[in-house]
Amino acid sequence: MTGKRSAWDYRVQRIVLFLLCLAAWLTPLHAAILERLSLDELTQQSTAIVRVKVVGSYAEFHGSMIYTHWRVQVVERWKGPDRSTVEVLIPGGIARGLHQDVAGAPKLLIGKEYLLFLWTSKSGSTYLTGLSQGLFELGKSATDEVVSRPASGEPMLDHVTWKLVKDENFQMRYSEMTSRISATLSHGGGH
Amino acid sequence: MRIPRRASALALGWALTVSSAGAYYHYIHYTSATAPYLPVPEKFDLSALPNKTVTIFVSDAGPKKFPANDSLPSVLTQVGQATQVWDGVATSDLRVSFGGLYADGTEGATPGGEVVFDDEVPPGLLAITTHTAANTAVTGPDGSFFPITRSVMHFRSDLTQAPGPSYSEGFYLTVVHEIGHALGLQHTFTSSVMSTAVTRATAELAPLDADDIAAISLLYPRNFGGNTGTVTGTVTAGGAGVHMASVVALRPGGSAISALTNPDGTYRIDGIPPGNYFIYVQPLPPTANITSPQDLNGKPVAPSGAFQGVFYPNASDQGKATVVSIQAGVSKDGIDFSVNRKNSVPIYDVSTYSFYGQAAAHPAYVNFVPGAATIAAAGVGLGSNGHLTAGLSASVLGTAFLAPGGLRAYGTTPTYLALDLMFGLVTPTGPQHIVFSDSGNVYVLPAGIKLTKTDPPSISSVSTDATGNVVVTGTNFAPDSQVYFDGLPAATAIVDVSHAAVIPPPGVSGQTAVITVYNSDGQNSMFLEPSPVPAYTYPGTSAPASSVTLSPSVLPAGARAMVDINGVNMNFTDGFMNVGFGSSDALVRGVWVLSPTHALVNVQVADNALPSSSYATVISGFQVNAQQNAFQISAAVPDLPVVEPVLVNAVWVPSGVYPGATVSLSGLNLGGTKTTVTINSLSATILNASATQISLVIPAKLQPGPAILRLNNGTTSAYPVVVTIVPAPPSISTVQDVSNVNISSTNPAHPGDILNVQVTGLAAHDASVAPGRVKITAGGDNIPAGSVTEVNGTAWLIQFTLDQAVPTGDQVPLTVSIDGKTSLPAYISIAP
Repeated sequence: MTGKRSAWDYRVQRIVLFLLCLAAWLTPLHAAILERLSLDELTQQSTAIVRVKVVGSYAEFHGSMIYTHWRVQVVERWKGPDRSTVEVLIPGGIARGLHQDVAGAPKLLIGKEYLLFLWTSKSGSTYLTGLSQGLFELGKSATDEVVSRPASGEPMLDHVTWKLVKDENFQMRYSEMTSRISATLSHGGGH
Repeated sequence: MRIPRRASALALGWALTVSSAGAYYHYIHYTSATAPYLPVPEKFDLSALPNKTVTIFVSDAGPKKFPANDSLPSVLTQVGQATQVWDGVATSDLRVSFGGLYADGTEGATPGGEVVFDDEVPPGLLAITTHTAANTAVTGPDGSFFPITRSVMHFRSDLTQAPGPSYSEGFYLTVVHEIGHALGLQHTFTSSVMSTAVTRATAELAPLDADDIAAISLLYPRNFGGNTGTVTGTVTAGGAGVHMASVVALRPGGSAISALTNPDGTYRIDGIPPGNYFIYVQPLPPTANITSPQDLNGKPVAPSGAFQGVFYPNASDQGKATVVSIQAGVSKDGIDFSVNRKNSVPIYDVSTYSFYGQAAAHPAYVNFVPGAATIAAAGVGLGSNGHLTAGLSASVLGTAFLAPGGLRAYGTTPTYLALDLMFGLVTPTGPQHIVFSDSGNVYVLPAGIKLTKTDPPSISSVSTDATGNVVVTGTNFAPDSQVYFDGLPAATAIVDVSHAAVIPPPGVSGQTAVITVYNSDGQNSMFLEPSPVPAYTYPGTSAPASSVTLSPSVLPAGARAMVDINGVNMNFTDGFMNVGFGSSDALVRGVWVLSPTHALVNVQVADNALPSSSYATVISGFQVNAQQNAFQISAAVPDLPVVEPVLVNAVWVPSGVYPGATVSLSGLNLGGTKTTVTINSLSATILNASATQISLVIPAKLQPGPAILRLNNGTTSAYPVVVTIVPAPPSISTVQDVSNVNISSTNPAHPGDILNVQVTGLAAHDASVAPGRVKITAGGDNIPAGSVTEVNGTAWLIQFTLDQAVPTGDQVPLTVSIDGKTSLPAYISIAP
């Protein structure tokens, strides 16, 4: 490769990386734009981390947005206030004969258990941290209980580089997951 | 399969009323579980909107954190201008207005749209945009639809994060894009504004492309389709229909228009301007971010999956593609595709870049004058580990071409492509399309290259001259360059390629606005990433407090009324003023600036509005005066006369409302024989009157400009409204042949004849009138003036030649127009 080509190569990489970042920054907001959160960041930025069982739901308007309120029973808790039930708000739903579809917003199933990373705003409403990033399904592998989350199809940005990043399917043994959460919290993840 | 009885009934009802439009990139519901699939879109109900206008608001909470040199007024100007973009689509019946600030929780009976900034957004989520639609369909003149009641664009209150800063072209196009979603459009893949930012290729001065215009016009048609053609066909794979394949009609050197296939693979692309097109089909990329159509039970009907993209007729080589000729009013049917399924979409999300030193632009703008250039491309499927994808080739659909060996891979993860371009001797400016081919698969990127004749403009200095005007100095200014202050276009006079004299938009003392030069070829001075960014600071150190008073500030439901606005420490400026009342139930239908501190607006209050209080936002440039609860809606007043603030020439609509014209006025409870009307205190002669319509003569002594119309129906006065009086148009005296004989039934004109038309009131005595200013129509046929000569000191003789295709008959209307003023018609005989 010639020196000139190397310079071109470097310049292309640098500029295209920058512009990919810029393009991602400006990605249209048809449904949602996510900011990628690692497991440690999820743990640190959530105000509650709970294993729950979904017991009911209803939807209502909050201003101009419809939120579905999912009533969940807390089965196990790693972070957050000690409450037996929580109401989690997820955008989209049907209320007053109207519907809102928010691509990327997960839907829960009543009776099913999940591991949830939750964030409670100053107004007291509780949401999933990072939309679908904060919801893990529980399942069984051949030998262990596992938690998993499918990759989100929504635009996702790295919050350091603001570069568009690709989300990936996530799966981990439940015991390992809870150990990671506990370890993060014990190292100053906050309570 | 069992279909619920209620759903079946719904389907039958829909099937009887549904529009015949194809499944464009709208939010779609299917009316049946089997073919034929009749797409029912979600859209605004025009009958529920005042003056068919949807209003977009910005939450008064506003962003709490701004990047440097950014501000709430800049955000407001961008949103306001983005609404004007959609409002300006002539073939759409939906009008779009900016309503200023609103208070969260303001209820309105009228559908609308909101831009919200707040802190209720959890970590890991930057923004949400959605719209609310009814669960049941209604039927309108254009078919069935699900009415949209509210659209919301929900952002974090920190604008240092996406999508700020607000003065950038990217922010503006994002807002235009988001409002497109709010109006009922989804993503498309034609590089238009409704494409994602990865492939979008439109620019500040022309944000919409043909696909965007077709999309909004199909949803809200107004005189749409007559001048465009249609393509229909089917996309199948292994004999089965392919659902949600993207079929695109692409004109070399021009635009792309597209549609998605129905579940049975059928498609229909409407709104294609006449011309020669390549038609191709591509799968939706995994990042399409499109809400799938819903079935009868509200369940999503997913896309069929990946397949190999091909040109018509099933050509994986663009050289073997067949050109399809599109004609106005004609449907080209049977443009079918048979595609091969794939496990994944081979190529997608390709972006192109051009370079200026260490700066770059997306998409790739290329100055073809040097004869060669290199651009870069990045996207999924183009290469990996520094190597091209095996078998990948690229070509340009246009006049540019790739140099031999001019496709190279760089980088590792990700891998980029460099494309070495060359240009022929005869090269037009504008879009060129890139075609990537890989093992029988075709990926087309419309407008992947924008050819220009110059490099982008640059700014070297911004100064102020003795008159207070701003002088912008730089390079590559074009005669039609436009200077922007933040997001506002300033009155711009291009002196030469290096200098522009600019009158700044009204601003606030001490405010700093970023200066950008935009050229009509799409390039702008930010391409060069100047540092620091050129900026202008308005004189003064602190802004004096402004105030605004409204009179009246309370209007009843159903009213149309003039509101008088007086400001203190404001600089009301024509073209930069926007007034909104923070409620979708109160629509501002017109603004007239009388002085820097005095303006009039016409307001329409929704018939079904409930009593409420809302914001009054008065904006002039970057000056914003917003007062909460400054405007109130009261209960409707029974029997109140209501004047529709639009007068229509009763004889010949194009002639307009001028002193002495006979016009129609419409409304409610207008009265009858006892009705009186004044315009600027001059009595208008009423020819006839009913409760809903009055014919009257505009007082001859009125001066052109805004005028206040007052009506009393004999017992009650209506709220006054502002009407616009235009200058009197030219008047036709005679129409003669070249022998100076009047055209008549005994001396008819013929196609191809040269005629002389004598008019008065064309221009001032001794004025020079270029023939290009004068237009003649005969039977709707537009004819250029050949010569324009003043005769007798008061009249003008215009000579022109009748087209061979001019309509014939005994009473063919002939009109003369100058500068938009159109005469009443003279009716002439034209024999075949």
